[in-house]
Amino acid sequence: MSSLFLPNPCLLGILLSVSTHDGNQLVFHYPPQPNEYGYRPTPLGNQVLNTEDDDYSSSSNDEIDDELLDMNLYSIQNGDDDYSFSAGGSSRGSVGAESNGSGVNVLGTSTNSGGKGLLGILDEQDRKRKDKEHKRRNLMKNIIMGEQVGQADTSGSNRSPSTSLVNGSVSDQETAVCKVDKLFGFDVDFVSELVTPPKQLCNSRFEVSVEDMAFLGLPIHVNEDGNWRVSSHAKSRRKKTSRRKKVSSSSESSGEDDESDHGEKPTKNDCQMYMFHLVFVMNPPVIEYNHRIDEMFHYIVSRMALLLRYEQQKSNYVWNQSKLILDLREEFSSFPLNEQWKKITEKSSLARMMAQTFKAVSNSEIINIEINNKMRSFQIPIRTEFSSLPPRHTQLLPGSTLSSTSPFNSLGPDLHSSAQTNDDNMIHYALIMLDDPESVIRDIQAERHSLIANFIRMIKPSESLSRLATLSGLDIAEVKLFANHLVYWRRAKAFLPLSPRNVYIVSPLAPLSDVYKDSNLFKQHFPNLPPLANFLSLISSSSSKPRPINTIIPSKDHRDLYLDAVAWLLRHGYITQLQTFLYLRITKEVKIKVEEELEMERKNKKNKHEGDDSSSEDEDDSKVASTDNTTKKREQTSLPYSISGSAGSDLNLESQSKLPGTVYFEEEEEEDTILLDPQSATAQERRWIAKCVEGQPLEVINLFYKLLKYMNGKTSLELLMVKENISRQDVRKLLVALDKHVTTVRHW
Amino acid sequence: MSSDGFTSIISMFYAVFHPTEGTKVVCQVPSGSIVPADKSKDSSTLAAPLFDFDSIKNYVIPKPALCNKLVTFKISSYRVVGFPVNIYASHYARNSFSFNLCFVFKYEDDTTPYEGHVKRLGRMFRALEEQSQMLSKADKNHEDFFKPQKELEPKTWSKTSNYIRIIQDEDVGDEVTFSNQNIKHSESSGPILASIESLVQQIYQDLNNYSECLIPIDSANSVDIKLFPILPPPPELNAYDVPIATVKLETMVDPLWDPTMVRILPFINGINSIKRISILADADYELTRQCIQHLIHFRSVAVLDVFQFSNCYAPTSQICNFLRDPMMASECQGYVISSTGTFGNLPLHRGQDLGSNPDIENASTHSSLLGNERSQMHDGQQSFSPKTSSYQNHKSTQKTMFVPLPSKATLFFLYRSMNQNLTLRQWHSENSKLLTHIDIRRFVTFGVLRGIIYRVRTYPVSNKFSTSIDFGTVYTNYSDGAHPKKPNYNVSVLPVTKNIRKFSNDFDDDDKLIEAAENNDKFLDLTGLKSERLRKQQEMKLSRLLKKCRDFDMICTEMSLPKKEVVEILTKMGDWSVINS
Repeated sequence: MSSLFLPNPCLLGILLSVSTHDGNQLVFHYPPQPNEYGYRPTPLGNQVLNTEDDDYSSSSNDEIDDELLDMNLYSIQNGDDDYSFSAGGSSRGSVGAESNGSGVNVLGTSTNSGGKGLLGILDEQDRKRKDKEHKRRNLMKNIIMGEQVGQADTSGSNRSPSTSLVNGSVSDQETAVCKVDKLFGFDVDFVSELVTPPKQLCNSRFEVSVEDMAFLGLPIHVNEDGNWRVSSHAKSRRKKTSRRKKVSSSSESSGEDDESDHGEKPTKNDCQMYMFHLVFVMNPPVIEYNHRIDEMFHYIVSRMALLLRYEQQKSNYVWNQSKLILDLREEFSSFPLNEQWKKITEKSSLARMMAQTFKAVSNSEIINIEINNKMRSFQIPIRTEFSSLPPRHTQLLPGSTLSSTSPFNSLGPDLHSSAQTNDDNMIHYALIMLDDPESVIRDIQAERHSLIANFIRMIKPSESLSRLATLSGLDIAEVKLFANHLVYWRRAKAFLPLSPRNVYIVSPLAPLSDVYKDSNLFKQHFPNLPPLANFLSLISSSSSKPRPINTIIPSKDHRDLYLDAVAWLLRHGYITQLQTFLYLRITKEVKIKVEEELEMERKNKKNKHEGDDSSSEDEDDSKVASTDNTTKKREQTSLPYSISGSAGSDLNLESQSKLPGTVYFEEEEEEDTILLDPQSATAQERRWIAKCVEGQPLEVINLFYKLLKYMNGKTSLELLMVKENISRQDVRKLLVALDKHVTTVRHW
Repeated sequence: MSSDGFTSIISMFYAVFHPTEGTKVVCQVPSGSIVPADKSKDSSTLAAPLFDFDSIKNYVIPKPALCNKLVTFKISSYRVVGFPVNIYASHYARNSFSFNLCFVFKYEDDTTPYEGHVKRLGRMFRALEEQSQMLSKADKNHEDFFKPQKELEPKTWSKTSNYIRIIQDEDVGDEVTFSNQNIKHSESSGPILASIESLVQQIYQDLNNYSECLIPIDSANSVDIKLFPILPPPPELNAYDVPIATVKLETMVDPLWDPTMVRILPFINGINSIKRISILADADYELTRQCIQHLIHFRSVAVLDVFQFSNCYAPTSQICNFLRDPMMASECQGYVISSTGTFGNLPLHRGQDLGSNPDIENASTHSSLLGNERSQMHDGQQSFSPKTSSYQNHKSTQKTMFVPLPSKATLFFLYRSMNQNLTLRQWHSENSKLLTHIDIRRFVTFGVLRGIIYRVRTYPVSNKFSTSIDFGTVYTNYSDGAHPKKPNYNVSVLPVTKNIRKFSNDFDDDDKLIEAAENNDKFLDLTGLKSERLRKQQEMKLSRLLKKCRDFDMICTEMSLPKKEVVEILTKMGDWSVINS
């Protein structure tokens, strides 16, 4: 059961270490008392959920959570007990406090487990686990739908043990120590030494793991010339600053090239620091180790380190803040730890940034931090778009969508590079906002009447980007940029423009187990429509095949209402659009006809000039095999299948042996062929194609040739109609006329 | 990548902390891979080290806090995996001896199969060193590692310290004593271990070539490693999941196999659901399920749905692979053809109107759901070996027949003609001509396993839940399984009346039907009462399942009823409709 598609930040803490000529120093870490969990990995997927509970925030104690975690993981026989314990609800906190030392005794209220057989316990476990899973799904859904999850107030806001720490440490540890001597089980000094590599390892990815706990970072070392950034880079940047790119102001992701550089020459002299290192401490699940580490490094760690380097170069930011934090720690050293941390994070923007980052990453949220009055955002993108159906039992986020054609699908690692690839099609897509436009505008802190704000207000699920560009008067490139941005930052999803003629099916990924719960929400939005379940039922089972949505729309007046509902369903991942893909099929009749004609021509030619031509004909034949999977070589004719099928696999042979000796399968001399790439057809294939449309009306033939290059099963007809501006009637005419040859396949 | 799919070891090295020279590499394979090779350059010697050893010294031999833990780190494009060991003992020159046997891999490779072994090796070497200074003495200048001998009693110290250590080491007992004798014996003839270098060399070569090694060190210790992939835990399975073998399981049976596994093996055929396998094999269901999970874990079994003619299938976006993958279509041809079609081995006349034949569902009962004993009996033997029985049938009628092989285009056409709202029964009757020589079940199995079609599940939904206006609030408060206050009772164990009381709380009052029925109880005779109770139980169970929005497969299994009867109960309970998803 793969859970790679679920977010799992498994972050234990963030450290900042600096090196000065006086030695290494661990400047700050967050949370104040991180837990190393015995260097054990975060459990995978749903196992993890056992730690969270309804009344998490009200009474949480991280010791207890450890107990629970440990017990769940390492002693199955006790598993049931802690469930019953957590089901105890409100009493939990008080009991929990006592159970610190020997949790098992207190928890081991073996009364109810004694009665049950092992099976009962297992069932119980299953059931509980599913409940937790459900809670988590809700959380994830919130993440997806852009409804911000409050951090401390939302119960069980994260499955990662680290979150329990966030909540727990703030409330409970009042009486606790004022000084941190141990971090992750090591002396503080040793930790800073551990994360301070020699210069050769700096300025590249740093990763040290101890058992299953990883220290991940990008240590930044000052250059020989006293600059923090590579000097060649700095030079080119200096030139560039005058013609600052407009783009970068809206793309917060790289944080590299933008903004002015007043104070370019920092006060180098008073900086004794020659290296700083922002370290993320994680305990990823064993089998996802590489994936989680890569993800974190690529999206968060490296970008933040580069941002800090930039600020350090510009204004000596890191060193100034480090000094500030160290001073503050000195000053507040008599306060309890949490108090201390609270004060420090209030006063130091770097400390605040680390705290915010930790909280946001732990909750799989978008990190918004402010450095020197500039807003920066980071996130580990959450995968909610799939081009093909993930294998069964793969855990996905509720609300995930399926589309094999969406140009936004590939929006993976790098926003800007991959945006180029599917550019052409992107403009024919429409956006569905995941949130109320005004709140999105507020969230992204756009000016109320800025371009992007106005653009966001204009977005409608039925208007493609190109149309939006026309309507808004914006440049299409700008519109694309905005759209990319909105999709990347979890504010919108892209679909083909809604139309009552589109065919929708209930998505195989639909979160149907939530259907009654969402029913309520649906009702609030669409009080006049049938309830959600019935609406889905209408869409999915009205006839013998999926039909356009307008078959369920009672009248023209209902159109907009129903389309709004469709948009709602798309947004929540309940439905997906069924698109039509075209293939060109050459029937054997056509082939035989062409063959006959060729034969005739050959004869005629032979009569004219003796055997001039035969060689070129052979060439054609041999080419056929390369482009076309279904034709066989001519020689293999009319032999019993058991012999001619030599090309087949083991499977083939196996079933052969099982076959009764009396029935032979033989391959036919000619059989239908489906062309894979009509655009680059061979001479013979072109003849076939010509033969297919022979005798058709001119308009059909014209349209056919216009669409020919798309008859490769890759571009959907729905997109084509928008792109090539073809009417549905014409297409239908074509499909009817060439029923035999143009094969349609419908999927998402 | 080695042949088995394990990432290969780029290099191995053994480093110690030398009392005077500090951290140094004692041996490395291939030579020159870590530090420049000084002596005996052979063909495998690398021209330049893979990375700068000096910069990682502190991670190879770290401070004691990191020792005796698996430590990995990145250096340029490599990942070094090691288990640094630090041993305190008064006889060492600095009162301690530190070493680390490190494995170097490509940074991006998956090193999990090795990690446990690296740990184990480290621990074993530690034990060997503690017992007999095997490692420290292997160095030709091993005196360096020890305090000048005059500080201790000359010549006898090693024996006595060994002796003492053994007595202290209660866990290991006799074995160690034995190896100790052995050590004493071999001490006279030189170091026990010919050389660490050769050991490292052999581990390196064997693991890279065979993914395993068996290297004796002395009579009591050996380096035995076999690499295993670390795979994600298998998914939770349902009773109605149908396992199908993707490898030839029969050929892998071993006398040491788990008895349940051996028992259920003959019934894993892509037709029987897990529940049925457990019934047929007379094995415990839970054990059966776990066996299947194990098989899935090792990727020798895939999971399908129960084959039923009421199932719907539809193409996925991967369907183009059927044309583009040159092997897939011909494999499909080989797999799905059947001389007799789907129903050949059944006492049916082919060509009759299949769509309307109510027997089909049973006849092909591949479909029979649990609890439907009649149909289980019916196809008890056939479903296991449809091919052989058809074979016998046809042997008698010796008549050679040539049949055109279903072309790839035809197969593609058949796959594409499935859709979300079309049951297999309808699909079959629409395409029966093309399907004459195709085994539909195999056809579907192939499509599902290759991901070119997917099963469209059917979820019954009750209008009752969705129309009641305040349902939503009630629902969020009480249901959803996460009932905080109420204990959960097992429906089938408790007396019904009690149940109703409990559950009428649980389900609030959406089961008015039941309450009404409860009142009626008084007027019914005893047998009527019984069946009435049964019915009520079923309805409650069903409405619970409905609320969770489960599909028909699940509901039928949970209720142990055929779909037909479930549909009957549903209809009795009120309006309902289905969602195909």
